[in-house]
Amino acid sequence: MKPTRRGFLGIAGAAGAAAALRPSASRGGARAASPQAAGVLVDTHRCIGCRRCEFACQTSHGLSPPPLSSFEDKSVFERTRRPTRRAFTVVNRLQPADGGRELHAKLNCLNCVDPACASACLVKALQKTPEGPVTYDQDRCMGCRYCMVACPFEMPAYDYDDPLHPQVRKCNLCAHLVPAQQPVPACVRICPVEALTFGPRETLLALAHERTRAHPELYSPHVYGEHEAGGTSWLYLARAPLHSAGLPKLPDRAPNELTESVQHGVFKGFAAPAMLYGLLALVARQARSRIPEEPADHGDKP
Amino acid sequence: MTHELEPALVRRPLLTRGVWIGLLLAAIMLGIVVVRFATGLQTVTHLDDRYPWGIWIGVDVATGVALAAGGFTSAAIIHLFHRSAFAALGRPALLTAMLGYTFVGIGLCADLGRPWNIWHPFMPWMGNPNSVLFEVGLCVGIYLFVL
Repeated sequence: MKPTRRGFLGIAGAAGAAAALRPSASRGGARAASPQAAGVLVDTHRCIGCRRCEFACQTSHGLSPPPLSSFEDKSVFERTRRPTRRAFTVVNRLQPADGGRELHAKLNCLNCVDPACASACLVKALQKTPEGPVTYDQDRCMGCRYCMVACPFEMPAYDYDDPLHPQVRKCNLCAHLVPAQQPVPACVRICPVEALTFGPRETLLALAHERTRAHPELYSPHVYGEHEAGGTSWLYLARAPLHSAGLPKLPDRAPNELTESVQHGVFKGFAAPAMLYGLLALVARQARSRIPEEPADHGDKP
Repeated sequence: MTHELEPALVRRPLLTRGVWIGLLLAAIMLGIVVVRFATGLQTVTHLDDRYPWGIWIGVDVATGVALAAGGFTSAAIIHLFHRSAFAALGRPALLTAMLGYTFVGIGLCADLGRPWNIWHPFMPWMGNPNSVLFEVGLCVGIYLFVL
C-alpha cells in the first residue's frame, strides 16, 4: 500500500484510540475519611453564643478583627448569618420548635470527607489532605469560583473587592498555622465552655453517639455531618434540626459522586468519542466517493 | 470551488449604523473592564458568595458557544460530507464560531479573579480530570486552537 495522508491519519487515529483505551482510574462509590483525619465536634447545647471563636478565627487567619469586646454584641443573632471573606466562622442562634432553650451553632466550611469543591476545582487549588482539612492554594487558583457553585453547603467566600489577587476564603481547620501536622484550630482553643472538641473524626463520632445515648433529652440521635454530603469533618450535636441555622438538609451522597461517575463514564476508555469520530470518518469517505468530480485536495481544507 | 468562496473587496462603507452601535457597546464594556481591574468584581457586578456566577455564564455559554457549534457542524457538512450547496455558508459560519469562542475567552479573562492563571488547567500536574469544568475548559481551548 502506498503511504498516503489518509492512511497515515487512519493509523494515527487507531494508535490514539488504542492508547486511550488503557484502563483509567474511575470512580467506584463513596470516598471514606482517612483514619488519621481530624475533625471538630460542635455541641450546640454547650455553646453559649459568646462568639469568641469568631474572634480567634479572624486572628488566626490574619484578618485583623475588631477588639474582642465588640464580639459581645448579641444583636447579630437576629438574622441567620453565613461565613464571609472577613469571618470564616459565624455563630447563629436558633429557637427549636419545642420552645426549650435556644441553641447556638457555629457555621463554617465543614471540610467534607469527599469535598465537592476539590472535585470541581480545575487546577487542584482546593485539596483534601489526609490530616482532615480542605486546603486552598492561591497560587494555583484561577478565580473561576466553580468551587463556590459546587459546594452543597454554600460555604466558600470570595474577595470580590480585590481586583488582582482575590482568594477563595474558608475555614481550613487552621492547617496554615503548622505546615507539617494538624494543629488544634484557634476556635477550639479559645472556646470557654468546651463546646468544641477537636480530635480524630472516628473518635469524635464515637463520643457524639455516647453523648446522645447518655442525654437523649439534650441531643437528637442524629449527628449532623456524619453522613451529610458524604460526611464532614465538622460534626454537630443538637436537640433539633439545624437547618434554620444555615446547615442545609442534604442527601448522604457527596454531589461529586454523581458528576465524577458521569464525567468518567462518558469518556471511559475514550470509547464514545472514538466511535463518534470513526463513524464520521466513514460517512466522510462515503460522501467523497459519491462526488468523484470534486478535486481531491480541496475537500480537506476548511 | 464556487465563486462565493473566493475573497473579494468589500465595496460598501464599513461603518454602518449597526457597526457604530457595536463599537459604542464595546467602548462601554472596555470602560467597565478597566473599572473591574482597578477596583474588583464587586463594583461592576452584583455577584456575592451565594451567587458566584452571573447570568453571562448562561448567556454566553448558551449563545456564544452555541453559535460556535454552528461553525463546526457547517464545516462538517461542507467539507466532510461534501454538500457543496452549502459552501457559501462555510466562511461566515467559521468566522462566527471563531469570534464566539474568542469572545468567551476574552469575557472569561474579565470574570476570572486571576486570569493570568488561565493556562493552569492545561498543565497535567495541575489539571483535575474529576472536574466537569475541566473538560469544558479543555474543549474551549482545543476548539479555539482548531479554529
